[in-house]
Amino acid sequence: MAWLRSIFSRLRARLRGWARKRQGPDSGDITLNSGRIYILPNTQGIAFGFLLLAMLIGGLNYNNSLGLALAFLLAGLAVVTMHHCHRNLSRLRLRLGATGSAFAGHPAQFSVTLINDARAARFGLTLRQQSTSECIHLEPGEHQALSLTVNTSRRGWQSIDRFTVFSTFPLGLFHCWAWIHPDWRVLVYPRPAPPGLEPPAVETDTAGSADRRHGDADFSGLRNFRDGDSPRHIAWKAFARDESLVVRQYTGADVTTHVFDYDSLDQMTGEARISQLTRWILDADQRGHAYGLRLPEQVIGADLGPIHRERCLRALALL
Amino acid sequence: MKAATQVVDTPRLLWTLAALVLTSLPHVMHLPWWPFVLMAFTVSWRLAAITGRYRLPGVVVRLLLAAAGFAGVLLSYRSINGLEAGSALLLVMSALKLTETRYVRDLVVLILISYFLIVTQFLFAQSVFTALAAIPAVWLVTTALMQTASAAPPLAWRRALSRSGILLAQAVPLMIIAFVLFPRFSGPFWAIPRAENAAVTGLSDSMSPGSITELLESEAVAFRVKFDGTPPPRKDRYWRGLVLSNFDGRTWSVFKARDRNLNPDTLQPLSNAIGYEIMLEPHHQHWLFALEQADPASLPRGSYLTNDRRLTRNKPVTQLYQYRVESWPEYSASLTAADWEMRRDTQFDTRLNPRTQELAQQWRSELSSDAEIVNRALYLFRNEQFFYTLSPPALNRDDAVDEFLFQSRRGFCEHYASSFSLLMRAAGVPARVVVGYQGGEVNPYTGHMTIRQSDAHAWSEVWLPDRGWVRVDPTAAVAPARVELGVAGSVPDGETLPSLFRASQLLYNLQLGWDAFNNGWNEWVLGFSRNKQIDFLKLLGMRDPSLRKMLLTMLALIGIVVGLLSVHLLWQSRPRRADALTRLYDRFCRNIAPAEGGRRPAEAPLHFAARVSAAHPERADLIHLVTNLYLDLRYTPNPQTSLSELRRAIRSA
Repeated sequence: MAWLRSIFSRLRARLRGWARKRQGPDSGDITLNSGRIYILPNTQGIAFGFLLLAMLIGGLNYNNSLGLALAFLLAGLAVVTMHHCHRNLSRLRLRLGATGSAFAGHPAQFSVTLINDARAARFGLTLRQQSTSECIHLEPGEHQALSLTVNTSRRGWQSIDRFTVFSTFPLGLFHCWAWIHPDWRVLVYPRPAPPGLEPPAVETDTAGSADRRHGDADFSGLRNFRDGDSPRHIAWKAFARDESLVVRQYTGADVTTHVFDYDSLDQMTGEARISQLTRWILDADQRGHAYGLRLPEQVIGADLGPIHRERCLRALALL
Repeated sequence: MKAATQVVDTPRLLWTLAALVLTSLPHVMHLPWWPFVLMAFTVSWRLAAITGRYRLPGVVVRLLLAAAGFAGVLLSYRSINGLEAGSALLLVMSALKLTETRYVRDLVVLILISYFLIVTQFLFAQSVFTALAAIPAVWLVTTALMQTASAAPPLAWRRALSRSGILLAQAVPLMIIAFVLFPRFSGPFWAIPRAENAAVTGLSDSMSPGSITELLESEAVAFRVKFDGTPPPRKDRYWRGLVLSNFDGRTWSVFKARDRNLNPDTLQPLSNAIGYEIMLEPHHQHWLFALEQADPASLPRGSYLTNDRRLTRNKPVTQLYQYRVESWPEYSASLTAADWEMRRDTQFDTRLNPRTQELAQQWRSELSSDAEIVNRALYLFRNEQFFYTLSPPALNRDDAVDEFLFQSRRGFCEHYASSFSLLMRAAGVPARVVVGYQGGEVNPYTGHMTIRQSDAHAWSEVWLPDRGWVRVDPTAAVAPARVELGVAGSVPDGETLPSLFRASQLLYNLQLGWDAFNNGWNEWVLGFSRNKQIDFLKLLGMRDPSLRKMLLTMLALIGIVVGLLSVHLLWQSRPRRADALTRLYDRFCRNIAPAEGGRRPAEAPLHFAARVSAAHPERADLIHLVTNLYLDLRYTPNPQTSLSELRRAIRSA
């Protein structure tokens, strides 16, 4: 069986390579034309075929007209089903969506919107890469986004060179599919080290108090919430009172600032250092501390916020 | 997750159970009760398990159940072969399979078995009703497969039923093409399992008082006939079935010891042959029916004439059987009969029926020839007080013939044939009883003739020196109407008749129509054998239908139908048209300023209006009017304008 399986897998790889070369890369909106839709009976379809064969032989042998008629009806049903199954994908439009990002070891999500421009409903549409997405029906004119999750193991760029959209509806006898070769790549951030090691000594902005217990002394007033404000500065009491989001303002930049240095972790291996730096960045971001990053060939100044965080993680991912 | 390894969920389970139960239930008619109890048990168990409060049985319990089911089949049938045992086993195994349905894959197996349960039903019966009952069954099973087999979330039941109904309806043309053109074979590849306890009404190979009464009350069809030309008159339509030569004083039965082939030379035609085709309902016996007397050269394949001229088939008739025979209405048989035959056909138990023997011997001494004795007996029946009745008094004594001839004198064909034949034997004239059918009714709708069990009849055959075996029907002497008009016309007024004979005109016509329909069903559906197929294809204009030609035609027709189907599906799933408002506005945008190249994909109407009216100030008013109308129609909850207003505005340009 092993040799058979190896032949099959080699054959499949050849077929996929051929399909890829023929179809070219996909991006943006893709309409599945019948040239790139494939259909074959699946295991259940083969079992159904054997059932038909048994009925046919029995019906011919016993000259049982009704048995034969049922065998022919079911054979016709299989043929009809094949066309209905093919129609689920024919002229289906896919819109490749944004790619997310993920930490190594966590799944990355890709979004694909399936759009049905046709007047007939499409049934049982499913995406598959390493795992299978939800299975949906699309009414005429309807569209729905499905997400594909892909496992990540190493930091850096990870690309998805192929995913499958398929349907086995209506009777689950045929597997009808199309291969999509998206121009997707996702940046996989390093795996954060387990928490434990505290970041090195802190440089505190002297303009404000490092001690939150005395923070009130620096409280200077309230202002309306703006995008990017830390949730911990929101005046929740005020929100509870009159449902307006306001943030407390402090005089001085009451911010703790770290500088994380790659070279300071010289007792660790390279990957471990990167993991540790990632952990620190996440923790600092969580606590609302400012941080900078000093890498062998790159220095990122201390700053705050999601864009800064992204920049640091990206630098670590691609190190 | 792949559908096959998905864990069973409630809707999928319910659909599967519905399919399984609906296809199992019709088997109640011919299987014992206990497989159904087993199935009810496992169905309940499986349903209880889906709630999560109970668990499915473990391996040990499953094995015990399987062993019990297997033993049950063996005990019921002493075998696991044969139609009934096989169906029972299939039912038991599917009931047991229910106890190990963890994945959707297992449910799919059960649904495929459900299809098979429908087919096994056809091996027991192929009537129109069976076929009609199979339609909802196939529909439900297909719907269950649709709801279960693919990973898609199950549809609402109405929608599921309509979708699977559409699939089946589209498969019907393919079924018809394949049914007509798929080559049939003339013989079975292996033996057909026999239904062991098929209770069929019909003639049996013996006749004792009262045995035919049951048949006379049955409306069941024995066989149907299609004559090449005009059918012979009713009084000549004696359908010979069995010849009963053994008489034990009460019961006449077939003499089987010397069952050998007829020497064709002993049979001479005295008239032209009549050809006809018989469609015999299965009676699970070896004998066939033919008008007296079948031409030995015209017999269907696999059948022969015995030396007492019974048409016999090598295999029992377990399915609707169609055959063609030619018969001579006038014939002479066995001018010189064998000694053993003469001896056998003059034997009787001298201890029984003494008065009958006495009468016969008196005739023998008074009359000079056998023919005169025959006439004397017929004279007796005709002129003494004998009555034809379907409800004669019971004859229970050993001397039943004495009792009939000298006391009760009321009876029907079996009484007359039996007493006449005994009288002849007692007088030394070789005689025997022939049973079969007499008459038959021509269906005015199709022209075929239907012979029912109620046409069952018994008559006698005597051997006369210069004429050989001659048919004598003593019943006709008593009640000529029996052979002229049938049973209904020959019973005295006031006597209760079986329901068949009492039918009103409307019911009678309905019955004729139904019979015509059944005849067509038998002929064109059930009896669609190799020969029928070839005849039918010739009728359709196919010259010389060979295997190759049939297959190619079938594939070509299937290709055409499938092509039409895919065009239909494409048409159904053509792109949706934009609504009228969008189309109108888009056309306006394209045409108002061709130089501007129409509205850009991401350009809002107001932006477009501004851009175009800047380029074409002379049209600015129109552009703004149209744009405002469009925006009103598109975005205002209750538009003040109408589509026709917009159309007018655009046309005014």
